[in-house]
Amino acid sequence: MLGCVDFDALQVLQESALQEIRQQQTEQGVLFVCEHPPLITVGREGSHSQLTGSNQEFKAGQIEVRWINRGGGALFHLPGQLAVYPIFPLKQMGLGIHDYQARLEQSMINMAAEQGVEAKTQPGAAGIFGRCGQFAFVGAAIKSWISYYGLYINVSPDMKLMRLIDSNPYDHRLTSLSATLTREASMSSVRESITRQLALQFGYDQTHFFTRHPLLHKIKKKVYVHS
Amino acid sequence: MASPILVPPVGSPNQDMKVSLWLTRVGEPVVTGDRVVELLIPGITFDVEAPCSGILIACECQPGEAVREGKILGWIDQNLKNDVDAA
Repeated sequence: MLGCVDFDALQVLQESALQEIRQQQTEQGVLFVCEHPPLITVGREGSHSQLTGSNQEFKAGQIEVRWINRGGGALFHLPGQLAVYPIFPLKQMGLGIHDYQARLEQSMINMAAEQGVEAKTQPGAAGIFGRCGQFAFVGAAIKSWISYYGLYINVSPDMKLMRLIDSNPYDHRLTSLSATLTREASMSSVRESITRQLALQFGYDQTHFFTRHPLLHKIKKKVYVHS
Repeated sequence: MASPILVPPVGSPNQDMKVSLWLTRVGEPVVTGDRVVELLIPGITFDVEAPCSGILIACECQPGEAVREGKILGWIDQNLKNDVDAA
């Protein structure tokens, strides 16, 4: 549980954890839970058409865009959105890709239920939907049967910023847990719930929590957006 | 002898997948375990590894093409690798 972390620093940390897990050859996994400063990432299912070029923020280069090798399309990351990165050795755990996807989704559905939100998946879409629209996204990758990247849950981000990009090609309405609940969802409660649900779904009965890592620095970043 | 690169079992035989991109080009050498091609199911990418060492001699499926478990993605010629080693 790492607070607000620079995306690039987290990528370095993920790669380091992935190498460590590959060498260990055990079922031990790592889960990074954090938020990111404003940034757009575009997964393999994304396209330039999702980045509406007319926005002045893009033209001015104020909001960085990274094209990365996770699944899913373009996503806006910003404080208020919880980024969850399970680095799990799927081969050692005896899990196929389909199992991995199903357990990720079930973890998010259970977490949402604990927050009082009825949620479900939709065929062909990678994410979780409530009555107001999609509030969680799967954008994961698997290398040498070890998972990385993962989930993004809109807890209470600034939705005006989120809607600067067209986050999905299926016209799913973008929303957040707070908007669905019509009250402020608690980031700490969502963080605790998703961590517990993932541990439960993936059979981890022993968990150790750390709130910092020597490779990471917490940062603040201001982005000015035209109203 | 040419060995096929197959779509690995993903735990659901009917799962639709797409070829995302090739990480190795035809004519390039590969070693067992090298990542040669990336596949995509909605929300998740995963890498397929070379089943043997040799030279990638053919890519049977192009990026964007739909594939399922067991489909041949490409071929690796192990003898060509031996020739390279011998030379």
